[in-house]
Amino acid sequence: MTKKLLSKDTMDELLKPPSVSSHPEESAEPTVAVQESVCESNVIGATSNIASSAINRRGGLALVLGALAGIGALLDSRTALAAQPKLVVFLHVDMNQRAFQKQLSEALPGVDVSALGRVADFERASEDADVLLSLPAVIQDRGAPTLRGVRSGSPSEFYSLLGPERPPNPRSVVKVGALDVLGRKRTTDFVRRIVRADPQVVQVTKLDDLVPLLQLSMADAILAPTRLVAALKARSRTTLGTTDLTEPVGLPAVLQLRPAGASVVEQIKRLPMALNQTIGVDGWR
Amino acid sequence: MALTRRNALHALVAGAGMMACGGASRQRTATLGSAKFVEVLPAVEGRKTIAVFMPDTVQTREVWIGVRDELSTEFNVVPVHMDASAQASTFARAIERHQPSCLVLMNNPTVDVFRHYQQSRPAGVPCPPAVVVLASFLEAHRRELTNTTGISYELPAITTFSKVRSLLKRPVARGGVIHRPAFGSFVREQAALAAREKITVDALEIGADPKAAELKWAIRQLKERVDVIWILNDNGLLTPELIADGWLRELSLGQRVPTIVGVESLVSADYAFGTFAVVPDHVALGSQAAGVVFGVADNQWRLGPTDQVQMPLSIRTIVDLHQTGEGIELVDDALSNIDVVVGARS
Repeated sequence: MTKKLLSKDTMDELLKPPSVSSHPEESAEPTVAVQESVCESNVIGATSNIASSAINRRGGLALVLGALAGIGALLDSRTALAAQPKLVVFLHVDMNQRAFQKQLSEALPGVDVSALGRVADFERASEDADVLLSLPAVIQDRGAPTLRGVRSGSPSEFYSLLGPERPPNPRSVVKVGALDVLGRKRTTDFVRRIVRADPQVVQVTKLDDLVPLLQLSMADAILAPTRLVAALKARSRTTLGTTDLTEPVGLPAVLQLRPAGASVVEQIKRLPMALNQTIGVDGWR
Repeated sequence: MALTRRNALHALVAGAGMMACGGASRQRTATLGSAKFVEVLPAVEGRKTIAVFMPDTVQTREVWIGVRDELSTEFNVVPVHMDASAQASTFARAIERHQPSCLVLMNNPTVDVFRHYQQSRPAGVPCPPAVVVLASFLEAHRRELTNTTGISYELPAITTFSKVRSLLKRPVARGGVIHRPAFGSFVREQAALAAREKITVDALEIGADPKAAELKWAIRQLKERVDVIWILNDNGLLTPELIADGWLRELSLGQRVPTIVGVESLVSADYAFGTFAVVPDHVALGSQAAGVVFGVADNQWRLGPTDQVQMPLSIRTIVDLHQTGEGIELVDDALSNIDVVVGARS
């Protein structure tokens, strides 16, 4: 490993952290938690200046032509991307959305894949989607699933409650943490239907954020598909008790919205087993 | 804090990184008054209004996305731009104009102006409840505010250590931290929380105005007895001199110990400083703040006894891959659970 030990001046330029804090006990002045404004226009402006000076130095014409060719290639690639059928995925899996999207893209060549973890992002992206992949509860308002995920022959699965120290009692938990899959009100209804009780529901946007709800005492229990219990327990060294619930919940499903999505549906049927398992299914029908 | 050239350069680098990682969450900006600002959804008649007082920064725009997306399902959400000229009267005018049921305040300067507004308000004039985000050491500032709650900006050590533990093959049972006296109570609180996850925080207190030699001595002590070093977001420990002559110099010697920083740009492929950065996820922070507002709404727009300052839940993780390997090995699926990867293995 080769690492540079920098001169103080270079460090001064590059590593001065503006977003660090002074403790309030040290100063009467309000502390600034975050760095001040960096506008998109600043970034764009800086880039433009660099580009224009480069053109001046080198006499310009060849660069301009090159730039135009580059823009043409960029437009071509964007056109090609626009021609690809678009799959929008809204699932919470045991990896971040960036990695999930990468795996899906590799397994679905020729498909423009967006893997998203927030309801609002999904709603926006689904406006021009050809195919949706999500929980049946999420897509059912748009139509009946084209494909249903199955595991061990069943199109549904069960959920579990996890709580500190001992298995949580669904009837006595006051606050349940859950992934926001349907927006605030509908997620609350969704959770209460699964738990068969009326707890307050604390909603998060990532699987990673469920265990911290227990660590920080912001919920009495967390709700997740039983298949993810081991992954959640692995995130903590504390004892987490588990209560398996009996309400069946539909496994991820596929909805074709436009004719262009037909080929995507066919490709999803042939996803590799490892990716199916990440999604929580072992096949499609 | 004066915005120096150094700050601007650093902010540019950090800001560009954040924008690049914004992905699908990024929004088109829209014109509000004379300024380029955030995208606003059309108001719906009959709905309550939430006024969001915010400067225009990369971070506040990200928080805005989370706040707006959640709250706009039930409320009209109105941004109020807080620039350097904002005063108590800015609050007075905005509250008079929008009649908000609740306020969201972003960052410490905004909170400071809000404190002036509360203090200057004529007796008997009610002030809507307020939810603060992006403000450091909120609990301390909250004592000077009324009818206010929020989410602190400092990530809990339990979250930070747990995340890094899940990424490393080596055990993480003991985390070290060097702090100045003023941060003692904060570190003790964090140590108590981390103990829940069976992580011992080994805290080493140094002087209020430390020199590089003292810092290096402290780093040497910790390197011998901890599994990972947590570097606080304390500007007194992160001066250019202390970074160059203290942190970088001592961390490069002898046994290598992974470090966790709280600022994304302190993880760099060029300098062996932060092995990991664990930072708040600002969009999720906005969603969390919206959850607090919903709770206030459910309680008839009053803060209840349970409306304590919350800790931020959601994080983003950055790793300098160059520093991993040779005793700092990542678990097999680590990169699937890291948001930004910097550098490449040597």
